Amino acid sequence: MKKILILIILTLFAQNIFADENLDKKAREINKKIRCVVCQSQSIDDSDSLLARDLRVLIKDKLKEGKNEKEIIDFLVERYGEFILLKPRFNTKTYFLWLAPIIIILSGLFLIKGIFKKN
Amino acid sequence: MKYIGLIITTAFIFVCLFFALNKKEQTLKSPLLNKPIPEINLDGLVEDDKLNNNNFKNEVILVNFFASWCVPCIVEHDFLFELKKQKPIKIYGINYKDNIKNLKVWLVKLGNPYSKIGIDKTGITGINWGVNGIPESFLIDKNGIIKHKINGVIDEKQIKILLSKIELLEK
Repeated sequence: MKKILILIILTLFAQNIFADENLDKKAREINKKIRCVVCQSQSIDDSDSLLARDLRVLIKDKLKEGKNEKEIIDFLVERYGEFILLKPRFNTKTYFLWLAPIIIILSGLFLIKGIFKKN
Repeated sequence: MKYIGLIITTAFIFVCLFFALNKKEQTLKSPLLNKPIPEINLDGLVEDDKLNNNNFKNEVILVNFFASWCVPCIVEHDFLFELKKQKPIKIYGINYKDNIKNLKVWLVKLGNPYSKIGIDKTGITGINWGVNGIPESFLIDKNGIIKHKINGVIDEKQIKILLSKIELLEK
């Protein structure tokens, strides 16, 4: 009886550890996508600023509450704008940002083609 | 004529670079502008004097995030008094991640321009309001809508802007 009880306790304990590890892993995945708005070129995962630390705690708390990545990112974008994402999403506000390089490269190629044709 | 395309492209790049380098540094517009104030429910500095969403009704209010450890906040403090002198507006202070003892000493030493002070011990209210770094201030209209945000110190120039905005909002 004693052995079974110890086994149950150990199983529950192990379960908790793995759950915490998964939560930490998920939190770090999100942290890496969020820009530290104080230092700007770093993610909150890399930054040690006061705000980055608070955001890391907030993200972990939201995951514990059962919120998913999209809900957490939406929450932050609502408050800080798309700028808080290191990789902005493709939407009506950011389409030019994503399409501009393609347009520039294509224009360049057409220009080069035109020059060669003339020559 | 042969190199006209190349010349136009190079000129275009230089014009872009010229404008990009000469552009004055701009702070990003807060996505909270023209939206209702985020949820707020803070213990007050004075016992039983909570700061919550019900305190934002029927009057124009300035919300100022500050702390006693924040050096620019000391500079701003005099300007808050100056603003109140020119326009007796309610200013709510949100004390951001501070030590209450230090805050009380700070207020005795520099004076208290705030009608109410909410204590944001954890910084969560700061995040809810999209605060990057203190001091930051928000001008709220009579319906509890954020109409203007100031990143950084309120100085003489900002007071002028605030006064014109307050005048418009009070109409």
